[in-house]
Amino acid sequence: MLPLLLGVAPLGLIVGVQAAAADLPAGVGAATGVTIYGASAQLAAIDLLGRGVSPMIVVATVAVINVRLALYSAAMAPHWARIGTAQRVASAYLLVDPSYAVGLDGYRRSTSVAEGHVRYLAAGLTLWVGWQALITVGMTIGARVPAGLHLELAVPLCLLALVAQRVDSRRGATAVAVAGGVAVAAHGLPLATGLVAGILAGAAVAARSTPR
Amino acid sequence: MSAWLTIVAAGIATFALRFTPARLLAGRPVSARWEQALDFIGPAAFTALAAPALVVAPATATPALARLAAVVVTVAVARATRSTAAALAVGMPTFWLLAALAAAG
Repeated sequence: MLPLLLGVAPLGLIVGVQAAAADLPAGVGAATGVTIYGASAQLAAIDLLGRGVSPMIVVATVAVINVRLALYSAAMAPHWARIGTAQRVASAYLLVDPSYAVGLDGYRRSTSVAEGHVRYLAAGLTLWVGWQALITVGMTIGARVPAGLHLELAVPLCLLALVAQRVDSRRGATAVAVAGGVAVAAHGLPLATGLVAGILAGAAVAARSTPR
Repeated sequence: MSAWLTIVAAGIATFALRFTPARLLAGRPVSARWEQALDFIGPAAFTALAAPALVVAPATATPALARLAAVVVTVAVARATRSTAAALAVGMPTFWLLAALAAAG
């Protein structure tokens, strides 16, 4: 469990730093950890809300970013077929990139579905509690560090560091370069067009260049 | 109030994506293209969030060379060490050092 938390620690802290810097009503930034619970969608929601983008656009952007969770959910379907509604709701709520990866591995290594489910829920709950704590700590750090140190730059740097570790093919590099380029080029457009256009362009490039 | 409603609505939309086990996809093989596209939504979102934050104001209030160097160093350390914490631990001081030099010069 500890490696799991250490892995997401920089990102959780960064979400807190961004929440502290954003022009939002008290508590809203931290509450995205409970309602949305997913780093990239939280960062997008905090960024867009802080810039006064309309609520519909914020919700739509979050949905676009989180479409991948539907795929994870589909992959979990066989493991969740025979559990009760309450457990299924909890399991779905806890589903996010790290819990998906660790959880799927847990189901595979377990001798029974029940044992796999205990592993998934334990990992998911640990991650959830740790995530909320990291955001709180990040907010505290963000509010205390002098503005002259430009801690807000740690947010994009952290994101790029994660992308650099994840992307190891030329096609992946092209996809993220397109995403970043489109996002910058369209940044001035209203309705968060830049962010959504960047994400979709990057994903489309990745899909188009996939060998069939 | 509107901000609270927005994040609750975004949370409900997200939960629907998590819970509704994508009946269209469940039990069916997902095409490699579709899977690849979804796989890249994460990295694409991160880059689309990061790039404007580095290139567009108010980031431009900081020295451009210091920002560029911090990006290069952060990405290089992340690739070499596979550690986000290490990348930030080298990347941010790189920015601080060069920004201080720019201010002094």
